[in-house]
Amino acid sequence: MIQLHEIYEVIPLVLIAFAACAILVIEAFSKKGSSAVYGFSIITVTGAIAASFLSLNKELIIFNQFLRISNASVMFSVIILAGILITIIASKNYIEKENINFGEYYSLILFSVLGMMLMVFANDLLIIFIGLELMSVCFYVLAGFLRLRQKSNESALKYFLLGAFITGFILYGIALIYGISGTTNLAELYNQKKLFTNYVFIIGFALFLIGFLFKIGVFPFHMWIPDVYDGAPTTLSGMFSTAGKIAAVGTILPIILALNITNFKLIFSVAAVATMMYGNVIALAQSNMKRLLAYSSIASAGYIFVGVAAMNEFALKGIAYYLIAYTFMQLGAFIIVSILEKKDDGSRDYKNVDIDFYKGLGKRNPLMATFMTIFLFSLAGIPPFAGFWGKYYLFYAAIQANLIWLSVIGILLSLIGVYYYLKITVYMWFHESTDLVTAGYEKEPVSRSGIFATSLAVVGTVVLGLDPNMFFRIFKMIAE
Amino acid sequence: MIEINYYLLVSAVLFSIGVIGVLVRRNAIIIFMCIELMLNSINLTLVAFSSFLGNINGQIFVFIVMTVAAAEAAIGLAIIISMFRNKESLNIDEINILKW
Repeated sequence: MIQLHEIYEVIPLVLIAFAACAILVIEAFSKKGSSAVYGFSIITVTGAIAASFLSLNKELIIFNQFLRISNASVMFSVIILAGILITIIASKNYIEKENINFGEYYSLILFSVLGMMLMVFANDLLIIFIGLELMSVCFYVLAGFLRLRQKSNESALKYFLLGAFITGFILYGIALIYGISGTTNLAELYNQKKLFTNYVFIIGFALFLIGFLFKIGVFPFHMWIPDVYDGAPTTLSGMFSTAGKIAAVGTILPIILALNITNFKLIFSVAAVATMMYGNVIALAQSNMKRLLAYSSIASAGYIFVGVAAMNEFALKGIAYYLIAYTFMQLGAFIIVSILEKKDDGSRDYKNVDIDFYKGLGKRNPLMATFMTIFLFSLAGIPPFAGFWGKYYLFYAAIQANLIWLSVIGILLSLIGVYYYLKITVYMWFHESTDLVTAGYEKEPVSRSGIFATSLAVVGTVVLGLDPNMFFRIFKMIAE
Repeated sequence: MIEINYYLLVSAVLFSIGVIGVLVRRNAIIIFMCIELMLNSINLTLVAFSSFLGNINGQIFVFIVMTVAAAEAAIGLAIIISMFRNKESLNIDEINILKW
């Protein structure tokens, strides 16, 4: 039986769902170019973050065992919402610049958030599937939102075809899991002990896992990431690389931990090494900032999988910390790229995204250059910032799980990463602007909303870096 | 009564045909049709298991899968149309601006 009071436990979900629909109505009745929708979506997401804290320290299974509220899932949904909030704040200026100032933009973002939150709260494979599809379908549309640009079309088409293909695998996996265990309920699945002696179940679970590895962008399934992030509108690339991945990690991680599949440990370790290597090495050769950040997000997926391979209680803590740090730094970097991007001049291409454009940025735009430096240092894992602690916790978890070789390789590979992050920093502060850049593109003032969004990300990166335990004090978590 | 194995075999074969179609065909719409074939073969698996286990969940799942497939079809065709307007081609070998 569903009881009415159960709705109180999912206020954030209800808020987001209501707002996503209401935006379409508000858009219809507001003047063109007004910021009613923008303000409304910011207020909703802020409200949803605040409401999420109401469900802290509860362990509930509600709605006919379809949803499960726990500290871990609340934490993942708060991280997702924080990323979305920053994205939305930075979006207004960007979508005006690109002439795509439509209300659907915010509505689609909120629907995709609803999907992500459903995924992390899910206690049933059915809900995971619905959430995943709600998220993915919105992402396909958003990737192609600049519909007059071939790059954006291409990224949407690639994302759509590959995403739908992978959906097939996830579903086949779910069908096999259902066939062997006779249930789609996760709690009942966890209680069946002998599942992993059955080969059909293992195949089904592997197919299910492949789908999530694809969404996270782990080694053999990462090829779509650079293309999609390069072609999609820049603020949205930031959102795909943070919120989308976090939702996938937040869904699959509790399942992996609860099923305790130690025989997958080696596979995860190898995938982690390959992902870190691929992301860091290919990023060295990139000349496009969006592509470089896309490869860095592949490398980050590798670090996350070091934690997944560890599969102990430190891993959950480390991954959670890394994800929140990653949200701030990766999203911040993407937003700065979007702020510096040139106004649409009818050429139907992204301008100012080459790394050559960043030469001499420190003189032309000191504030953005400083922020970018902070994000890049944090991504590189340089101590006072959050990214360092994220990697520290992940590699610590791997060492605790006797995977010393994995953490040594991980640390070596993340040193390769330092090179390309520092290269951008050196370009910004120690190179002169080339004539090509300064002649064609005069300085554009940075909008206030852009500065606010990036400042939020900077504050997150720095504060979490200075006091890494603060985050865990908020979500008195899981580890015990 | 037909054994469940036959249903599973048919649906596995259909699924494989879909996968192979996605991998070898070059037209975006045909690829999309192959994906739909994959989803429908999964529906067959789910219904077969549901009837075998005497458990209704699988059939409910099929409804959800069909709904999602319809939503995906709407989105996918829209994306393909916007691609075609800009490029006048649906051959995925020619969709190659984004690489490396």
